[in-house]
Amino acid sequence: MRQILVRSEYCLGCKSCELACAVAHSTSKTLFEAINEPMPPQKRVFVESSGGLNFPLQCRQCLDSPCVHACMSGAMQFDRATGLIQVDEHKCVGCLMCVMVCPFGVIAELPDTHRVAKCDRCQDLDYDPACVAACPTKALEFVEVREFAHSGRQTFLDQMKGVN
Amino acid sequence: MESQKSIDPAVLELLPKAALDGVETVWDRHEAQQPQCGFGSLGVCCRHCLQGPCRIDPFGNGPKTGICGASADVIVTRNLLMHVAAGAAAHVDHAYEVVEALELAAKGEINYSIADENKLQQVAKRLGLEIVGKSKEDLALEVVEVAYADIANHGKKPVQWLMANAPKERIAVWESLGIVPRNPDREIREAMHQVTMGMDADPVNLVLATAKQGLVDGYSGLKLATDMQDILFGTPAPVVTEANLGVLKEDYVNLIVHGHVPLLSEKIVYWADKLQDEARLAGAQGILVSGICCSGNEVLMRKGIPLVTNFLAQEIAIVTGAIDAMVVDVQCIMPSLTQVASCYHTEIITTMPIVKMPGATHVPFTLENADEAAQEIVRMSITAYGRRNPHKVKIPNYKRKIMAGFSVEAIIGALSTVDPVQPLKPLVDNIVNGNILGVVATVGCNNVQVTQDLLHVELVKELLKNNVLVVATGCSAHALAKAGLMNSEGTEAYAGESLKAVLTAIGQAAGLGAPLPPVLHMGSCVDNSRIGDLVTAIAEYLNVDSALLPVAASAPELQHDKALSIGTWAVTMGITTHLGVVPPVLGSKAVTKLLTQGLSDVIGGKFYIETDAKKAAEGLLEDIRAKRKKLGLPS
Amino acid sequence: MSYIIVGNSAAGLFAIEEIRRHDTKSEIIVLTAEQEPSYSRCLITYFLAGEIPASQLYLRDVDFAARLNLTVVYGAEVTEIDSAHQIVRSADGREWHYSKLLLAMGALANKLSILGDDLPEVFTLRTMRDALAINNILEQGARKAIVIGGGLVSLKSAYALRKRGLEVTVLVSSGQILSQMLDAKAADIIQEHLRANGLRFLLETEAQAITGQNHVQGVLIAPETELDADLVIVGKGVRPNSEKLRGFGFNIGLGLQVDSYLETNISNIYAAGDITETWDFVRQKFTVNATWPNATTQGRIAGANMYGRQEVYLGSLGLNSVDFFGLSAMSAGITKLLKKEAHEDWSQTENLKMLGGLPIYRNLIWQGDVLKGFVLVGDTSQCGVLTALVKAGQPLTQTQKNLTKGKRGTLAVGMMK
Ligand SMILES: Cc1cc2nc3c(=O)[nH]c(=O)nc-3n(C[C@H](O)[C@H](O)[C@H](O)COP(=O)(O)OP(=O)(O)OC[C@H]3O[C@@H](n4cnc5c(N)ncnc54)[C@H](O)[C@@H]3O)c2cc1C
Ligand code: SF4
Ligand code: SF4
Ligand code: SF4
Repeated sequence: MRQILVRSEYCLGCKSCELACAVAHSTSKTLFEAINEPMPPQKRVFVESSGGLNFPLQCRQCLDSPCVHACMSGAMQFDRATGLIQVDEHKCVGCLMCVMVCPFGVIAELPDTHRVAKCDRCQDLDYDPACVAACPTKALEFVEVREFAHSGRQTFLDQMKGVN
Repeated sequence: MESQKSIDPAVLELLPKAALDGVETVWDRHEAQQPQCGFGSLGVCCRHCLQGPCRIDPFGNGPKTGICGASADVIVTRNLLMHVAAGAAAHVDHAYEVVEALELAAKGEINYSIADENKLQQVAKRLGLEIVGKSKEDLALEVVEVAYADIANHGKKPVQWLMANAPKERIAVWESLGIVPRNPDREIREAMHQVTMGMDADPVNLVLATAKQGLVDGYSGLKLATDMQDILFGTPAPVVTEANLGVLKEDYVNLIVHGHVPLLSEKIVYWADKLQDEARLAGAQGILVSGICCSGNEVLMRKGIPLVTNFLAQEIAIVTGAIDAMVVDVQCIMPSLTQVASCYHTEIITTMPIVKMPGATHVPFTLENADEAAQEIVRMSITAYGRRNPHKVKIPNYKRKIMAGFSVEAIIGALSTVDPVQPLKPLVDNIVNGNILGVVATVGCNNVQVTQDLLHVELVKELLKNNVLVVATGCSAHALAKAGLMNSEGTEAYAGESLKAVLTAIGQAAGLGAPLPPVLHMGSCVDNSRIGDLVTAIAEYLNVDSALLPVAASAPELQHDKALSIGTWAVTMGITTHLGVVPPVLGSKAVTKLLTQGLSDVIGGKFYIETDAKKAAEGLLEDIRAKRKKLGLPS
Repeated sequence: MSYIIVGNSAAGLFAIEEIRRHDTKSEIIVLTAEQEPSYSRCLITYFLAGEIPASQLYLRDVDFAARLNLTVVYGAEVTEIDSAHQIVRSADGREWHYSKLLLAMGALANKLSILGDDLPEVFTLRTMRDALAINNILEQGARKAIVIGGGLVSLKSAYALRKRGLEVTVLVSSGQILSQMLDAKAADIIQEHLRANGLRFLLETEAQAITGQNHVQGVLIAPETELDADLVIVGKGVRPNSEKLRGFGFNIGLGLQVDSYLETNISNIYAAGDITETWDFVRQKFTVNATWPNATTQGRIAGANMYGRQEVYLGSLGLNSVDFFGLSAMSAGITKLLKKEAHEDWSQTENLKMLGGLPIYRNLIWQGDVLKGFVLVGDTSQCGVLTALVKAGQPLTQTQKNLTKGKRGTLAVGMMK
């Protein structure tokens, strides 16, 4: 299965991925229209920086899926078709239990509807991640996991070592 | 965690109050911006035409040129030129206003007077004007005419203010590089043209154009402004006052002047004094005017008005809850001020047609209505005092005594108590024999990317320990004042032995009964011209190129375009200029190398980028020692 | 092979799904005393508040049981376990044979025993049935409610009733609401916020009796003081539903005791969820952490081990989240510093600020460099990072400490050098 992987050493923190992600979750799917939509689209990738490194972070699809375990409405579930963890926005009641346990802090609260949103791998774009396409330095890549050198994973995961 | 924000204890005391009062500060907004875009930080983002924006991938995986073909080198230098031209524009605009003021004052059309005839004559003499037998008004008008002539120069003639005031050796170097400016407005216009799409694509040529903007700033901005201001308001002489938030008084109407041009702040100081009784009627003990940024420095230098704080803590001043009004003119005024003020009773008053803020009260200030406007503003502060909420008042009890007012004239005055014939001799002799290792000027702003004041203070302490005499202007001066480096105790505590001895001797001779402070406050940001004058005077006295002197400059926490253009001017003077915050140039290795190394071969000076205070001090000391060695002086 | 799962709530459901992930063939029998397919107990106050319809309480699709090939028996209240013959029996005498048994019978709401506690408008709130019954009373036009207790379920109930327009008074016997979950300052902030939104609190107040002949009229809080009410909700905590298992040979402490594979002392019988006593790895003691995420995690791991895997359960963690009228609060682990003297290496970093008129409060509890717990109010975004650091249970590096400040680091210089 293809995964979004990050070469954090290439990330310049320009947040192009954040913009692209928000646009990918707008109604119009274009930047110039999206900014005027009544319900501003929510980005699901967050460029974090820590100890001099930038890291564009989105749902890591944790194997132990703490969010699914914490979700008390059944909204956060494995999607059988894609094998991805997805939130069903209609079931979500905004209890934020998932926010409380997501170790990467990548579940966003939608202020208007009081629900949550997270990376859905760009479901609307036929699972062609917008963040990856937007990154000008190719810090984000969408590849078969085997192709990606192990070194690419390091950084943030290193920092989070022992956590989880 | 808070300690990373500032080293100023008064600021640290008020930050939790700011949080509880619901005030968002510059530090909060900085945090919200993290991480900041690397393309911008590296200077490789171009927005010069509407085909853009374009970005260069500094790792080489992505695009190497913009859509038009501009390389990282071109993009970086174009951006740099634009920054520096903007800085120069700010100072030239400032200078223009005070020239205008002198003209109208000389004509008797406005209520400003010519306070310093000596300075007027000194300026006129350098310009080659005949001074004998002329009234001060007539002479002033002749000086004004020269200033106007520079701005109206349609020929190839170089800027006269520069020709009259810059060191000869330097002029020769600048001429050989073809960077002597003709007309400041034209040069700034040309720079704006030069950076548009499809213009200059030669990074070296763009760097030279940048250097030219430094000269525009140095002479048609800084030097011109200081000269005019001294003539109008007097040349500063030593004054003693205090610095930091503790200068505010709970039972006084507190009126803060913030900005840069003394035309307004002088009037405010005057009228605050005249209207003390009205404040007493309103139940206060009186009116206390104090200053932030360079408006503060201007009235400090000439009137002994206390300093409240520097750039980064302008919001924190309001958090005391004790500021009744803050009146601003131009430059470095955070747009957030009205937001902060809305949590308290503080009146924010804008005065200039090009600086307005939603939420502020605008009192238009012109040279013609200066007195009326100033009275209105002072009265607004008195009215606001009545709305003050005593429960929200907290004035941190931190302030330091400072001695300021060190114009070149004041320094020479002090030195002439030692040697009336050759006043510079005692200073130069002590530099030659190594009692004073060299001179470093620290200038410029605060920058939220750096712990407030930390770099200024740490760097200077290190330099003083090594017997380097420090002169300071702008918010750097504020930082050093707040840290207790501008009084005699500072000399005892921080100066190296031989520097201490020299400062003590001069202090005794000048009748202070105590050493001179180890850091001499030379004024506002435009008063960097005073530092230029001092360097020029020493170079003339020794008859050497200023590039050879054991002198360096530093803008440890620079933030503004103006700081970059002042720094550029210092580099053109042949001076190694330290920057404690990384300027947006690293995206081009070639340009970075040119600015930090190559330039010194062509122009004598160079930029030196170092974000660690200790290392920066070492680097500057090394530079000074190398220059001493070249001159054959002991080190 | 035949699995029996007693209880189809959080723990039971996750156990079922886990077993089916590995074993698609064997028989799975689900016994539940209630009449409902798996639903979320935690959402019943959302339903009461009118925020979601009753249909949204269900956790899975209608075809869930069929798709997973489950035999679900509703209304089967297990009362007897014959471990010698591997048989469970229900109160009405039915019996089922198991190879592997999971006891996921959850917890029971504690009742009050005061005069009037049997009046028809006095409720505890634990099941969908309770919720539907209370909803009936609301629809009949109840105006005034008294909620007895200041814990999570009480406040969620009070919030729901307030949302439905009732006058609500909360009686708290101690001096602080949410004392299990929050420190005093956070509790004050939440209480003030609830008060500003129309809830009334009486702290250090006990209900003496509930008055009324056939219907609730009020609550007596002192011999002379009676508060009017036409509805009373009792939220005096829960207890593990393990009482009825006494006498079948189980080790029962605070709850049903298990080993690190979540197996009870009787082989082939596992336990998970609110019924279970587990090792709290932050507090470092055996206790019952009766919250949803603990129940689901235990259910999943018990399911895996019933299938035959050897997954170790590392322990549970006290954690919770509330959100009332736009102000959210979360906490995990240890939320209050205990007596200073005895805990010299303990410290807390406390922070309070106002943002847009709402308070933002953070309190982190440390033992040396180990993060032992926290309380957040107002800004709870990225709380999970803190939860993960608490779970880590080891001294934090500087970078990790920066994460705890909720701060994003700075790039510029370090990277460019
Ligand atoms: C109103 C309310 C709000 C809550 N809010 C939160 C919250 O915000 N966050 C949080 O983490 N937790 C919350 N909880 C707690 C949470 O609901 C429980 O921790 C969780 O439901 C425990 O799941 P469980 O599977 O262990 O048991 P339970 O949910 O208690 O389910 C027990 C199951 O066993 C069945 N059963 C019981 N006895 C028998 C028997 N003898 N025979 C057969 N079947 C039996 C029942 O029918 C049921 O299916 C809340 C609880 C309530 C009541
Ligand atoms: S687009 Fe790429 S370089 Fe920019 S912030 Fe995202 S990951 Fe980093
Ligand atoms: S949302 Fe968070 S917890 Fe859930 S899978 Fe993604 S990263 Fe993991
Ligand atoms: S894959 Fe799509 S949804 Fe996920 S972070 Fe990238 S842009 Fe956002």
